[in-house]
This record gives sequence, C-alpha cells and structure tokens, in this order.
Amino acid sequence: LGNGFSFSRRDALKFIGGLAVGAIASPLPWKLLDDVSIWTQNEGWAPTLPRGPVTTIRTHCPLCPAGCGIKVSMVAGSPFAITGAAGHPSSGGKLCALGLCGHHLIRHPSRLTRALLRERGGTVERSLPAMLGAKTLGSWIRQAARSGSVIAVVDTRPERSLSHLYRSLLSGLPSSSYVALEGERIPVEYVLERTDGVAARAYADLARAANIVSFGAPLLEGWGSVGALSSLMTRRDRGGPYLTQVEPRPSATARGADKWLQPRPGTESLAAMAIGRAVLDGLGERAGGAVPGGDGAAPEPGGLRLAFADVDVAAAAAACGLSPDSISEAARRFLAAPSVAIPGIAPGCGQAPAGLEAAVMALNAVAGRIGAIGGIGLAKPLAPPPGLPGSDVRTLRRFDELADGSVGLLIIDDTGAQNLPTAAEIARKLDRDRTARVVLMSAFRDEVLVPWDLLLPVEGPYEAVEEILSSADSPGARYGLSVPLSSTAPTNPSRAGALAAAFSAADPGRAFGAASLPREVSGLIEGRVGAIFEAGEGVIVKPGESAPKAVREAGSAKELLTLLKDGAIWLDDAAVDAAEVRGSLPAACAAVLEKAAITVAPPTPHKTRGAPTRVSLEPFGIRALTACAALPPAMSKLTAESDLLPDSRVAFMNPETGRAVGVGDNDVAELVVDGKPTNVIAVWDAGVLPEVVHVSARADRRACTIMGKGAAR
Amino acid sequence: LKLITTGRVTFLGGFAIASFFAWVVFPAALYRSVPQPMDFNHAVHAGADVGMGCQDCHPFDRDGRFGGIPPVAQCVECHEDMSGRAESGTSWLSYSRQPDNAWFPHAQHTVLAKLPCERCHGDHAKTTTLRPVEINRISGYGRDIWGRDISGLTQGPPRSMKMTDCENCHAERGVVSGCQTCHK
Repeated sequence: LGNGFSFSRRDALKFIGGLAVGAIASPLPWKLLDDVSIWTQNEGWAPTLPRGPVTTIRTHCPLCPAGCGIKVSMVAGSPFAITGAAGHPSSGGKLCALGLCGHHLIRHPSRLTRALLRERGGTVERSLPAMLGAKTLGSWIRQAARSGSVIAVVDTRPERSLSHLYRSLLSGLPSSSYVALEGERIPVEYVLERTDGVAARAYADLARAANIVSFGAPLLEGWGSVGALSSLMTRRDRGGPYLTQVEPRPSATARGADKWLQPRPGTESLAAMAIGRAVLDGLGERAGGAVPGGDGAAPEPGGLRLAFADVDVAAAAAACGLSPDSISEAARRFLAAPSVAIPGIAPGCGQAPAGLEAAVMALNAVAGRIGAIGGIGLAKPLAPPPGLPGSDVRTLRRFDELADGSVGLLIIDDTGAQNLPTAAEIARKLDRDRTARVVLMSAFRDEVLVPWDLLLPVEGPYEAVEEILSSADSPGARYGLSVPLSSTAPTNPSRAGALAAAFSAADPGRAFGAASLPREVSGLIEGRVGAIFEAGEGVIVKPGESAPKAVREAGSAKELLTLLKDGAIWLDDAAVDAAEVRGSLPAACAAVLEKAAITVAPPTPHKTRGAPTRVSLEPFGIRALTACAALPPAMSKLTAESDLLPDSRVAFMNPETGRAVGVGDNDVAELVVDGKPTNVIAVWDAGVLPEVVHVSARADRRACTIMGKGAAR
Repeated sequence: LKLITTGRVTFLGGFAIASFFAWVVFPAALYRSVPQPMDFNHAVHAGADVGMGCQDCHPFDRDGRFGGIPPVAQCVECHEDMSGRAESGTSWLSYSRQPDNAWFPHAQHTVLAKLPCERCHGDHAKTTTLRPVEINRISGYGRDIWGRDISGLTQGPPRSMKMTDCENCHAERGVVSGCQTCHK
C-alpha cells in the first residue's frame, strides 16, 4: 500500500469521527436515552405502588355537585386509578379530567395537617395542632358574639346534612347568618311564589330542550353533570339542540355554540330582558296562539308586562352592543321550539352581573317555560335529616346579601371551592373597625382565593363519607354517598367536628345550645337514609349491576345505607305538580329587577399610559381548573399540553384596574408572562377583581405585567 | 486503490468498531439473563393429551382482572408430589411486566376485543421449556417489552410491547384513546 498510509493527527480525528458516526447511526444513544429516562421514573425517589391484590370500590366523586359515579382501583389499601362507573344514571360512565385525577388529591403537596394562624395584618404564620386551632376559633366566636357583630358561616355545598348542622349551630347565636352558595343552580325563588326554599327544587331540563339560551353558563365546558354534558354534545353532533351563548368572554362554550351573542361585560341581564321583551311581543302577535311546550304554566300578563314595560328592544340591544336582529332572532327561536334559558357564570370569570338570575328567570316565565317539558323543571326537594332542632338563623342565598362592613367573623367551608366568594367581596363585608377575622376550613393550603386569618385543617375529598345531592340539571331528587378511599390519608378533624368543638369552646355556659348537637354527621346521614326508606318513594340504581328497584326492596334502612355506600344511588323523579306553580313573575323577581336597575353607563374615556405594571393573571374558561382550590399536578400538565385552552387575545379587567395601570376599555395592551409578550385587547368588566387580569392562557395563576399601547380602533 | 487512503480507512475503522460495539456488545451487556426458578413445559400442558387453555392457569377474576402467574399451590391441585414446594412458594419472573403508570386491563382486550393471548405474548403454549428472563440493567424491564431487535425497527406485538405498539394497534382498530386511557 506504499508510503501513503502514514497515521497523522488528522487521521486520528477521522477515526474518532468514524466512531461518532457509527455510534449515532446505531440504536445505542437512543436506547440509552430511553432506558435512562425509565430508570429516573423508577428509582427510589419516585413513589411506586405497592404490590398486592387489586380491588375495586364503587362510589361517587365528591369534587363537584355533579357527583359522577366512579369505579376506584385500589392496591394494598391505596387508590391508584379512577374511571367512570358504566351505567350510572347521572354520569353514564363519563368522568372529567379532574375527576380522573381525584385520587391524587389525597397526597397533594399542599395538603394541610396543622392549623395555620396569621397575626392580624401580618404575614407571619404560626402552626398549631388542629384542635387548638378550633379552640382559637371558639374564642373568636365568643368575642364576636359579645361585640354584637355578625358571625356568618359560608357553605359552598348547601343542603348536605352538614349544612343543616351548621344552621343548628348558628341558631342560638345572636346576629348570625348562614350563607348557602351554590354556583350552578336554577334559582327557584324567582319562579315560585312559595320561596321558603323547600317547596321545590328547580332544574334545567336540558335533555328535552330543543333550544338552549345560556347566559354565561359554561355548558360545553362542564356545567352540571358530566353525563349531561356528554349527552348534550352527542345530541349536538346529531343536529340538536340549538345553543345560543350570551357571554362577553370568548370561552370554549361561546366558540362552540351555534350562535354567540357577545354583549358588553355587565350587560347580560339587559340582553335577557331584551329577549324577554321580544318574546312577549311575539306572544302578543300570536294572540290566542299556544305557548311552546304546551304544559307549562301560562304567563300571568300583569306582572310580566310590568317587568318588561320599560324595556325597549332596540335601545337595549344598542346598550349591549348587539344588533336588534340578533335579539329578535333569539326570541323567535325561543318561541318556535321547547326552549330553556339558564343563568350562570364560569368559575374564574368574576361576578355575575346584577339581576342576571332574575332576568333570565323572567325570560323563562314570560315564554311559559316554567314547569314545561324541556324548560325549567320542578322537583321535590330532599328533606333535611331528622333529629336536628329547627333553626331560626338568617339564611342567605347570595354572598352580597350580607351587609357591607357588618361581618365580625366569617367561617368558610370550601367543599364547593368553585363557589367561594372572592377576596374583594370578602373584604367589602368585613367589619374592619372591630376585630373582623376570616376562618377557612380546608384540606389544602390556599394562597389565592381566600385571605384567611385562620386556616383550619379538615378532611379532604375521599377522606370521609360525603353526601351526593341533586345538581342543577338532575331531573328529580337524588341521593348518593361518597366513601373514604385511603386508610393512609392524613387524619384531620371532620368539618362538623372542628366547628362543633369551636362552638363548644365558645360556649362554656352552654348558652348557644351547641353542646347538645351531634359532633359528626354520620348519625344525621343514617337518619336521612332511614327517612328515605320509610317514605318508600323513588328507586335505587346500582350502576352496571341491576335494573332500578324500589327502595323498599332494599329490605331495611340499614341495608339501604350499605347499598348507598357501595355505589348505589337513590332517584326520585316525581315532579312538583305544575298546577301549583304560578308562572307569573313573583314579587321577589320584580324587586330584584327593579333594584338591579339594569342600565349601562358608557365607558369613561381614558388616556393610555405606556409603562409596564404588575398584575395577577387568572385563567378563565376551563371549569375544572378553577373549581378546586388544589389541582392535581397531572391535571395542570394535561391541560398545558392539550388543546383545552381557547386563545388569549382578549384580557378582561376591572375598570379600576384599567385606570390604575393606564389601559382603557378596548385598548391594545402588551401582556408579558414569563418574559413572553402578547398583544391583547383589554375589556373593562366590573365583575373582575381589582388588580387581576382574566386571560384564557394557562392552568395556573401567576404574576405578569401589562402595558397599554393605545386604542384598538 | 487510490480510494483507499489512510483517512478513509481510519474513519471506516472507527465506524466499524462503534457499530460492532453498539449492535453486538451493547445489547449483550445491556441485559442480564435470569433463569426462572423452575422449569415448565407449556407444550405438555396445552397439548392434546392434557388440553389446557391459557385461562386454566392464568384466569380472570370475577371482576375481569387478570390473575397473573399461578402459585405452585395451584399446580398441587394436579401434581400432589409438589406439595412441599407449594408451601415455600415460587417467585416466577414476568417476561412482560409493564411500568406502574401503565394500566392494561386484560379483560377488555381478550374478552371484549377478542384478541388472542398470542397476539402480545407469542405462542407460549408450544414451548417446552421456560427461557431465561432477560432484564434490562438500566430500566429493570424485561427484553420482551423493547423486543429482541435492538434497532426497534422490525417490531410490534408479539415481538415487543412498547407504548407505540399499543398506539399502533389502537389506531389499526379505530379505538379512540387519550393519555388517561392507559395512564391513570
């Protein structure tokens, strides 16, 4: 081969190059990458499931009022997978992403095991044993009672046995209030003359409606039960029902609706009144014509005409930023087919405009949709648990019914976290001249939603027996149970136990009567189940196992309780006699409409200032993300990597925030999140908290800066 | 001969050495071979003389769960001479153990979808002896998961049982599945 084969440094480099090319062209680096990544997942630092026999528990998901039927796979006493229970009458085997991750909450990193106490006005926190926290609350109850300021308990999942116990605990206290907040509900007080709260439960009969007008309710994102959502989407794939979404925000529901009416923020109530007026005019033109649905109560002309007398469709449409034709079209559709209008606002979207519920119920009433098929159904409500003494506590259905500056002690149960009042709402109600305090009973540490003075650790989801009650779209009454899943979860006091201990500590002389009340709800639940058995109405359904059977076939109240703890659900679809319902607009509704003074002031012109200002970013539009104080980490990851989020080109902010940061209504602003700038159209909306910007951007709340860049037009 | 220069030879030499290491030495070193604790002749049991099926020893529970590998106590039902070993138990090694974060319901695949066991596990029923389990020294999983072909190019059940194999099978059969179908 001659002298040409001397081995130089260049040849050595070529040899190394050959090695490198040979390695890269082989599976070695890719296989190593794959195996090492698996190794990192399986090494000692990663939690692993114990080995053992796999068992299955059938129960209900307690995370939201929908109460879907679930099947939980367990190994060695720990849950490791949740799937929907096939054949469940309300969820039909479907489950949302949060529900699928629900068992992660038991080991959530922000799980509380001790009480946290903040000194007044400070940020320093002191950690206490849970029962010492309850005693601290007891001393605050005593102070508030002596000073005469209001003690209010906010219940975010009303009608449970626990809710009735709250009312009994408050009964003996002077100046106490019980606030029952339900995010998704059809407000019965606006459709019934009897407003005692137990005469009937209203629900939206979405399953039989051919035309739905939703005023901000996130129908396609999980309003009501997942089974109903799934059924609605399946029906829409086959051509019906027609969905009109009246909502300022570009939510997923607005984008997916057949018709999106985008009113200016705060004018949704006016839009409902305008459609109602157009419906009334349409009924007038049809003199003698039948009301759609046929079986609904006929509207009583006097009250309705009074309510709608001052509404001019063209003027109202202009104030809402809508065309009169779009209002007329919505009214025409409302009269042409069995229709229902529902009020609502997605969690994280600020507060509902004043009078929205009353205006939407007035629209239903004027069209004769109360008690009609496919309209607003009326079901018998579930009776309270027997054995508790009657309560005379003042009961409120809206947080803003508490007088501003009146509350000395606010105790919040966060079970239905999607219904929590906002920090701004809470601040407005507190009596800061006295020693007003906020106590949050929660299983998780919450940094954002509620500004607490005492965080009282209580049981979390899947850690106690919880009642599953009717949701806003359940036809008829419903009762099920959710049972504890893990014996290894941290043990905190129950909500009933913590509050009963606090009231007992506050009441050494037993003046409030709290000492005679039960400290746990298990007995109350047994009593409620016993009452259901004794009444003998309705059926029991055990998903996937048997056909519905009569309650009495359970054999005894004890057997019925066992069935319910084993995943069965009791259903009673007996409707309240529509003849008992007056389809007029009751006085309560008219008063709300009058008080709301549904008018719109034009936005104040504002000069844009070009300096970045720090604000908080809050997501909107995905119900599950904002419905729970603690999200499983997998849930955030799934959402971030999926296409669940609509775009983020519009940012909603309170007018106060707009003025403070120099961004006018309908201006272009530059929003910088994690160093990445995005141009957004700013929309002023009084429903948004101050210093917060609502953008559908990410799953988590975070800081960002915003800077005005001038008018958009 | 002018094409054969020192530079080209050294480059090709390096390429050949790396290839030999990556394709021959690396796979051999990556897996350690562990014999099963006891030999077992599937062919005898599943053959015409005995006529047992897969589910006689690997049954589904009442709720549809796969029963896994049977304990020796089950062998004793027919082989009384093994009663001494039944007490001590036998730690069988699984060829196809999946990660904890993968949820695979056997019942849905074999009962509802009517897939034969051989589709993923190969024709075990014709083997006369239990081959050793080859365990990946890094990941800890059996070689049946990745497959014998180190390149991963000529695989698919029953040669391999990676996530892509599951996805391909679902796609072929039009089964809609998201992340949480298998990862709970």
